[in-house]
Amino acid sequence: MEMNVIVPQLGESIVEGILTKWFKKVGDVIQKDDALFEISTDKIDSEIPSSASGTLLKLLVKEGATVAVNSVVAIIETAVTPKGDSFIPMATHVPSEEDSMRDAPASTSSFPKTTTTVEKISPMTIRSSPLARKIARHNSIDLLTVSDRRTGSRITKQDIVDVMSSGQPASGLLVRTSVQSSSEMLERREPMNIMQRAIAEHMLTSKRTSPHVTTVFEVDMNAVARSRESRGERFKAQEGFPLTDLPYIAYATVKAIDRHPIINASISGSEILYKDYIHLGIAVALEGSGLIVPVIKNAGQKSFVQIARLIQKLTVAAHHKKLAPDDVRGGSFTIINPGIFGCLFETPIINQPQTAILSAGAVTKRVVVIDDTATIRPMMFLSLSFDHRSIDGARADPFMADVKEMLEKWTDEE
Amino acid sequence: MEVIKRDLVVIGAGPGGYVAAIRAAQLGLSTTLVEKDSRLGGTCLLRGCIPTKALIETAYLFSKTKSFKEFGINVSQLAIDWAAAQSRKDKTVLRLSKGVEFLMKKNKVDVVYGRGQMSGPGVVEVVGNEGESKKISATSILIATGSEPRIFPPFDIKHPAVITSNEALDLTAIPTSMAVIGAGAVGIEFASIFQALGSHVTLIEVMDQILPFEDPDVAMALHKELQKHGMKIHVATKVESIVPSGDSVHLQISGKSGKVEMDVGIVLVAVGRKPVTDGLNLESIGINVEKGYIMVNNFCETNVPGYFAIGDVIPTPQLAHVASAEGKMVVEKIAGKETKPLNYDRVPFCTYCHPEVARVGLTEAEARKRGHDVNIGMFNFAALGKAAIIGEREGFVKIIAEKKYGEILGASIIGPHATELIAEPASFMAAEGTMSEMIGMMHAHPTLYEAVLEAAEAWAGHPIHA
Repeated sequence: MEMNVIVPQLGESIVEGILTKWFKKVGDVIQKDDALFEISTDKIDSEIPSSASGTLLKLLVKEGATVAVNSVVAIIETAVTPKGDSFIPMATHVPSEEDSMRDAPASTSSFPKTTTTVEKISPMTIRSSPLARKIARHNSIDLLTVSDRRTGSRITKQDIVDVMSSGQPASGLLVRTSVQSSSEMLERREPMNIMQRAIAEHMLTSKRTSPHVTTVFEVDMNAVARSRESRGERFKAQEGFPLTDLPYIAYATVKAIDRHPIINASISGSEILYKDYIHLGIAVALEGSGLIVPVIKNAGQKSFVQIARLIQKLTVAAHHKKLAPDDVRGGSFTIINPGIFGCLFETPIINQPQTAILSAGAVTKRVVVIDDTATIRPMMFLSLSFDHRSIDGARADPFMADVKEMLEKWTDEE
Repeated sequence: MEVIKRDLVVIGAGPGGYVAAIRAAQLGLSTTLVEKDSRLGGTCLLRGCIPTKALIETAYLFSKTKSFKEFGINVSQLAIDWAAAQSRKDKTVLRLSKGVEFLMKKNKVDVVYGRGQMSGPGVVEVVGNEGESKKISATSILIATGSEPRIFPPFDIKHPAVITSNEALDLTAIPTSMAVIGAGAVGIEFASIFQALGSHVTLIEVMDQILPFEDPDVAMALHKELQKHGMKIHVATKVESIVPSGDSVHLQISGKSGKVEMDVGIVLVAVGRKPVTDGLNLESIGINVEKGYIMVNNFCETNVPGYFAIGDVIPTPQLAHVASAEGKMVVEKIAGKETKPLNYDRVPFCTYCHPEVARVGLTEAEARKRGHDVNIGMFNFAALGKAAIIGEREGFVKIIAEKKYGEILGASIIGPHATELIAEPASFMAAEGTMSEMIGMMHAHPTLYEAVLEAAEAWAGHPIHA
């Protein structure tokens, strides 16, 4: 029988995403849980597994299309009749045969608020009338946002007027609203993807929200290096992945936060919101572009090895776009690790609504003076950007000193 | 009784109905077309656009002969062969009507001849000329029954010399004198034909200007041209009485200049057209009808689901191309395709008198009334090379475009081939090209449509040839 494949609920605040890739084509035989398509939202990129076995009968949207949660994107011919709604495990609403088969691909009637399966058009293929372009340019309306609302037909004056009268704020930069001049021929415009746009917005919001101050500490990683030397091989054999500096830094941070809860707090109106939990975000740079921050929940209650495992697991999941929406939500403090790129130290931007962020620079051997003797040690700069509304140097620096001390005096009993 | 089942049944095979039927068939709908006439094509093809324009061509060519000498052509014994002109007109109509029949076969549209009427929900009963009856049940029913000449007192006189456009097409002789009541497109065209063919024509219009819906500049220019060729025109004038007596008709009219009486051979009443809904049994379905018109929404849907109406039977401009456009739009909607309502502010209106008159979109007055801040661009054919070449230097192009974005709101053209030339501003409007695109478009020389460019340049304040 024919079954509709719908876009699962990706998270409570996610209403739509871009279907970036089909992993299967029409006619392919697919097994339940095979990756079927990839969805990119402002929060995560997810591979969506097939929820049934069968033959892929029809793809209803093209790659690059914006699809709403619960909209039908494909039809699978299944051999057996699935029971109940087990077919679409994550969905909260299973559309009936009628409303999904007929309406969902072509019209917006089923989900008027989210503009169901509107063809997402790249700026190269946006068609618009000269008059529409003039009015859009004059009113700073992004033609991309207009085409989002339509089914790919040419944008006319009426469409622009509709957007203007709907009270939707005119946003963003104009896309190809003018006749190409010769200088533009040397330049290229590409729309930012959802993630890039979200990051841009978050960064700007954070800089506007928090007065950032950055403090930098230098840490002698000799003790950590010795620990890695002594237990590294055994660890790798047991856990299946190499032991790096990052779990040490994360563990030391968590322990220091225990003593300095202000670092893990956030600002809520005129109050400071302290948290009894530490949800530790670890930033992961994605291939190409983009950044995602999976979160280790309740890191304060995890052992060193547990933290190491979770970092590994979430990092791998991020690279493979297998993070679940819950994996990236609710962080209370964030660590970034630009040292892997050779960076000495960064002045990171706080991940709102958190109030501080720790950046680990590269560990490099430097000559340092210990007991009045020039000694070679693996050294690392740790920098902490903090929100000076709630944290000042007198609070941030003791926290950093604690992290430093823990790393420098690392003993494997921890 | 056999009940035929269809996706769509279309009642009326005019330019609304038959075009809708073809598009429906193209979209895979099983379609039946119902027609009460013995031939397809409706008013447009059988009694309207096509036959009148065929006669207009005869009249136009005949009037052209007056300038043959000037062009270096000597012709003797010029005469109108009215019977031949009529025969050519009839052949043209027949050829095109056969063409529609062929198109129905080609697109596998069933044609059922007879009068269609509503016979219960989703069912149309067709009663043929011999009383035989057929029932067609359809998911969608499209009413495209068109219109007929409107007659009301004091014009409701049953007499062979008091006629409508229907009879005017088949006059056996060119009348020596004729009064045309109503100076809309239909009245003007017939007045123009018979004037050119030698009738003494009096044109009577109750409104302040001939072609009351056209730009006053255009109407005034046409008024003067028609007068120049000997037509008597009375505007703001009412017909008091029409009394046929013997071979002529006695007419009493009253206007600003007081009462005038005249005797004419023929009175042609062209005071508008009314929708045809009689006998459709619409009330049985509950379809909303106001003042004779079937009421529809932007998508030509009636108040009853599954019932649609297009063309002259709904209160939109009574033009073949409007009906066709509505037909295609509504059928596409029925077939589940993405459609947009028509933009009635971009309808072209053509009057095939000489000089021709054409308009697309708004007149200047209407544009201003709607609050648009407009500039006007005008250019006279008198200053155009091609107009001088063909010896038709009367008229002008007038473009109405708003200042801010250069949006083209309308254009009026009076002059040679105005009905063809209007395609340029109409195209720009459909594509939403603005004045800068129009000015930037290269116009071939020497052509008549250069006048459009010149008017556009004038709009921008820098005309080249004026």
